[in-house]
Amino acid sequence: MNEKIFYSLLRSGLWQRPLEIDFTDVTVKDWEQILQFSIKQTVEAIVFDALKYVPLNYQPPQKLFQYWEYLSQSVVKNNHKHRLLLNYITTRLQADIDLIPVLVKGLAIAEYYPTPELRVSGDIDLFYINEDDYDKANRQISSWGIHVEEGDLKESLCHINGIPVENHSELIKFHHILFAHNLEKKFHNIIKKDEGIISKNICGADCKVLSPELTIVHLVSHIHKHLLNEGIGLRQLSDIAIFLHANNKIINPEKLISLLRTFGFYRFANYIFSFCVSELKMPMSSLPYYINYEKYDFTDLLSEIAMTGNLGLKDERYLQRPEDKIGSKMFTARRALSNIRKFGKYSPWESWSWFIRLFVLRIGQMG
Amino acid sequence: MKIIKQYIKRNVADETLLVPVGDSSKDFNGMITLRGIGEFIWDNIENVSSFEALVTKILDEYDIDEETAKSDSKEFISCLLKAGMVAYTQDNW
Repeated sequence: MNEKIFYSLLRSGLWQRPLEIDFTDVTVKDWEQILQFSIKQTVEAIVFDALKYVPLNYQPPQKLFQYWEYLSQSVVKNNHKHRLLLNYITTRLQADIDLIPVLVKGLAIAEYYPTPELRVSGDIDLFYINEDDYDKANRQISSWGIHVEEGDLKESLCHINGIPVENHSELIKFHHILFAHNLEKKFHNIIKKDEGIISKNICGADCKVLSPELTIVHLVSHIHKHLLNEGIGLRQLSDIAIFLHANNKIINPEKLISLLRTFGFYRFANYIFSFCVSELKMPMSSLPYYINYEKYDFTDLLSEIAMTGNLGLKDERYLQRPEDKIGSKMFTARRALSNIRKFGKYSPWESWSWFIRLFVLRIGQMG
Repeated sequence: MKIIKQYIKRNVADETLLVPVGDSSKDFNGMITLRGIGEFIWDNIENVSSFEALVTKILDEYDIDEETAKSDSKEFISCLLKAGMVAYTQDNW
């Protein structure tokens, strides 16, 4: 795949900057691969938007362009449905039981994109500060005749008009072998005080969102979790770059550093923030604090992104996964170990603790 | 005509969403979206004294012919009546 062209288009779409690249040698096959890669990374509409900067005589072939345009319009339509649903849920929860959920990820971040509707929206994630509120919300949604399925990790899932809605009573699952419970408690307490939650109108809906510093910790932990598990795509990395850029003037650097250090993500965050500058070309001035971003090498991360894409859903390596139970567990363990070897150095406690816990859990399941 | 159930109106991009709340949500859980003239009718249905007055108001606001205004309004109001969202307060209105 012509990665140079793909990344130029993505950066151009993210920052609305004209392209500074030569399209002379781009072939039809290149365009096809760029489209497929954009889909794998769930940034197809953002990359399509950047085609407006491509000179007319170098545009993709007409049929491919039309198909891409159709995909992009579908992203916009889907986004609109998500916005309507967000309004529906928040309005009803507030009117019925006087509850305003905290909107996290997805639509809460999309707001900061140059064209929010172009960010692919997978689901709606709602967080409730108190477990009582979480239970109340689940009960209330059930009373609307909607099936709510409760999971093991203090989260529930339901589908409204075909759109997945997840309710959470816990935002970050820590794995630290000694202090996981304490860290979870601490994170929760920080959310509750120190202006951890802000009221905000999102797409017409009265919501609450996390403070910018907590949003960053949450996004970083989310990237960390998926990078070690099933894989990470450029949408998640674009999210953090866009958020840092848009909130640059209001982020409190000392507060952010203190939070990242407390929760064991400081070095990992620096690595991810540096990726935003080096590879996504986020302006250096949008870094929340000074980072020597040039010292990092992103070969492994770029290769992982290329292989896994959005949450690893299109990772071709999964096709090699053995079907038998032991073989399958060994496959997962090898994969996790390989990722920890590559990225664990940026968050050793959390990464290795996660692996040990996974190992113990799997041994338990096999027994 | 009067709106007989309780809905909260939300504007989402170029659409208007009606969310059933209170007693309305006990027998209706759906999501109603309105656009253009639909929203205009919803906003004005209680403020006019007859169907003709509503059509006149629509013609003042939108650049459409009387026939279209009448047929579209009739169809929309009939949907609202069927859904039990509005009710007559006098003969034929």
